Amino acid sequence: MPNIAENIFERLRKIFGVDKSEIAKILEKIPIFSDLNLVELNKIEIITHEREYMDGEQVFHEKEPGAGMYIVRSGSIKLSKKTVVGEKELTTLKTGDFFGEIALLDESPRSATAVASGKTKILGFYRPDFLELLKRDPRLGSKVLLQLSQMIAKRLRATTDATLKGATNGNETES
Amino acid sequence: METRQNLKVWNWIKLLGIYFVILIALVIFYMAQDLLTPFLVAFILVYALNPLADKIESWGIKRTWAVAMIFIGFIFIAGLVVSLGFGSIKAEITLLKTQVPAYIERIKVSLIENAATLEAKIPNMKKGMLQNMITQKLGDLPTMLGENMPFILKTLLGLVTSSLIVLFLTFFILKDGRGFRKNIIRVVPNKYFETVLCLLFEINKSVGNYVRGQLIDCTIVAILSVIGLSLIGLKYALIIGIICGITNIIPYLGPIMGMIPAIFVALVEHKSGAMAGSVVAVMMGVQLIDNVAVSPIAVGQSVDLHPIAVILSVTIGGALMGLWGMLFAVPIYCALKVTFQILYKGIIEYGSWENA
Repeated sequence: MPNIAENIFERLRKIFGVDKSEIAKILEKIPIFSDLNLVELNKIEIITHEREYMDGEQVFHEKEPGAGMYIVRSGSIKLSKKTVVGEKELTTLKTGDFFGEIALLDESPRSATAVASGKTKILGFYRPDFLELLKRDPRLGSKVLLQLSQMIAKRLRATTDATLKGATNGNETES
Repeated sequence: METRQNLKVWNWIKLLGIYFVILIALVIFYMAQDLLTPFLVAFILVYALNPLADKIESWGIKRTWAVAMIFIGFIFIAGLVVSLGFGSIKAEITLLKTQVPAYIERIKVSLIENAATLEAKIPNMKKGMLQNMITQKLGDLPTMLGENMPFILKTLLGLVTSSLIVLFLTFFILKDGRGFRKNIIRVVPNKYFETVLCLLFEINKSVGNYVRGQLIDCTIVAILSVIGLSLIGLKYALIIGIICGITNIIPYLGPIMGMIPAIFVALVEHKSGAMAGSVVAVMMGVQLIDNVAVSPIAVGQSVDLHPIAVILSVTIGGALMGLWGMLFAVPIYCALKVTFQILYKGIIEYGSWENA
């Protein structure tokens, strides 16, 4: 029975915290993967894509259809948005930050432009792979999906509160 | 500014490199067409078995074990089918083998009779010229078959090797296909990465749906044909029904191709026009059931293809690559259609998939 052996190994590896890959270490800090165990993190790692960007290279453009979320491994990413006055810089993302997670759910246009500043390594987790994962491993897929929904619910509540208070200075940066 | 320039040059070089590799792969495949067949058959099997592998994997079993389980089950069922159906298929084949010389003799006799009446009607024709020609050409046929026996055996041996290759390829593509796809897509430049990823996913989905739908459709057509043909009492109904199922893969033209051997047997073996008529009726009935009830469910919604486009692609495929071209014309057309749809959407609706 390979499954029992795998389980024992998994427990042992968890207890001693050995052979966790660099990518798994980054993934477990992302909220939507926070309650996954090491075996599940490895399954996610298999379907992520490692991409490398040069200084000034664009990750995605505002209003483009989105295909997935990105996690910064090294370097930094600048998010900016076009306004009537011109290009407005929203924020700079560093190692361990993530962006574009709404694109995991649907093909809605990106709400900002993402550009690499300096040599940047990012990890892509794309909608087609996520949909396939949901079909192939529903347990793992729904764990991720639940976390994603909770995150969005929290954000929606914050937005609703802000609107009710009539606060206009709160700006959402998610794309 | 300079890094940006470098970036552009680097992207272009990468893109050209990819085109170059694709070109070389196409040339190699064109030169080694024998290699192409097992690959394509393996791809069909992978498309057919992939949902099953995913399903077993969703129970928490590792991919390798899931694929191994499918293979063991496959071999078991194949063994069962062969041991159950082999007897009757073997009987039909031996019957056919002993009957072939008799058929040729019968065709020769009727041809010579017709030639005699033809010669009598045409003036200035040397008596017996046509008859001699016919005896000469047809007389060699049985001996020719005998002489070619080693060659036929060699082909059979080739068949065994290629089916082993097919099983081997199917196993590994089924097991590691996802990894292969990830590695292939790795070389795509950043600018096109999202588009290409979504594109591959959509193509995979639509071609997979088509292939799986067609396989189910063909199996049902084969079963219906065997039942129908044995009901009207045609000889070799089992073999002919299976042939009908296989030719049914080719849209529109396939059913007609499948009808030819059935009509041939009806005319030569049963020597009756009535039998040929009922064969045609049965086949049309099968096609009717297929087109009204089976095909819309099995293939139907999965791919939305216009009949004219299908016929055109099948004809072009046939002209370029013969039978294999006809078989793969529609899946290739599917892939191209999805590609254009996605690119069109990107360009028209968003206007910026290439907005650097």
